[in-house]
Amino acid sequence: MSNKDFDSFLKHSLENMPEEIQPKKDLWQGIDRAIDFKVKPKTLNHFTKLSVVAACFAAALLSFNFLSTIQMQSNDSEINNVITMSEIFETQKNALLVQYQEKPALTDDWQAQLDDLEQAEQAIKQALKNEPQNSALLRMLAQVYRQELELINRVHQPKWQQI
Amino acid sequence: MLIKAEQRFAAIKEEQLISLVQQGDRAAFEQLYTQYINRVYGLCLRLTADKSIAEDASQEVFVQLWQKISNFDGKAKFSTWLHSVTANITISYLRKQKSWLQKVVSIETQGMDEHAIEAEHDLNGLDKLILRLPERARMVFVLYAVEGYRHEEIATILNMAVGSSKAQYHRARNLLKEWYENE
Repeated sequence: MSNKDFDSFLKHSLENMPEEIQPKKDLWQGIDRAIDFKVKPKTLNHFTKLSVVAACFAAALLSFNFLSTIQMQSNDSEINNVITMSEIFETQKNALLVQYQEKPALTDDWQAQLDDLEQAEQAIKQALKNEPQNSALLRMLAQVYRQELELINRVHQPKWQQI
Repeated sequence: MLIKAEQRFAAIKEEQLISLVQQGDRAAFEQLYTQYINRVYGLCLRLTADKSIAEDASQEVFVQLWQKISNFDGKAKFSTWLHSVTANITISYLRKQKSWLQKVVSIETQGMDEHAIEAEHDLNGLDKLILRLPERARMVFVLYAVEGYRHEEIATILNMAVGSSKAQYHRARNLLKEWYENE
């Protein structure tokens, strides 16, 4: 196929590319709740503010310790096996669940979502038993771990960036 | 709720709608959401090549929009301003999503479930190929070729040199050409 074919394909595709893609999920409810949630901090009392500061400090300390551990381990050897990755993840996940156990979640169905992710995690781990160095499976496992931590964090402590 | 909002604001102009949102009118904001969600999600999906991150980023865009819409001064078109906000938030969001786990296992950050996204959104042609691009090349290509940003602007948004933006664009273009020719 010639250059011209690709150039015209690109030109035609860009000119006719639909600007809109409809999400399959209704995103409004999450936005609606998040807006409500963002209003609440204005009414926090002094004790609650102190608790939030303390929780943030604890989270920062935990993250620092965790990253330090990762750094040290990375210097010793390349960490790319499923056992090490799982141990690190479990430590982090348990710490988050303990940290947030008294805190109300933003959504009601987050534990069901977490169950789904845990099932996916188990299925990937099972497959990794046969192929422990399979990079695609490792990547999928890392992705699931990431989603689990994200979910726990997101439903308990949403953070929004600045425009 | 959304249908009611749509009926209530059917006859008013966009600038009036924005003005109502700036005054804190929640129903007007719902209407603005209805009008723009598909554009916002479209850009998020192309930039991230990840349905879940695109959904989260879209939500974050609207949450921040509600909080910061007073910053919109009406000098530019609202859609242009919103696209710029969306691009910035999505890229920032994507950076945050690069987990330590991925770094640990040295994972190449590439669109992972493009086939699922294609099937779900009924994408075709160029969009399918864009989802396969490596992250940086994809973001530069989308911003430059699809959204019409200049390399200087992309370099600022993505925190890279102008030369790198150009190089990533050419990398993306070459990959797209290769895939197109092999299909």
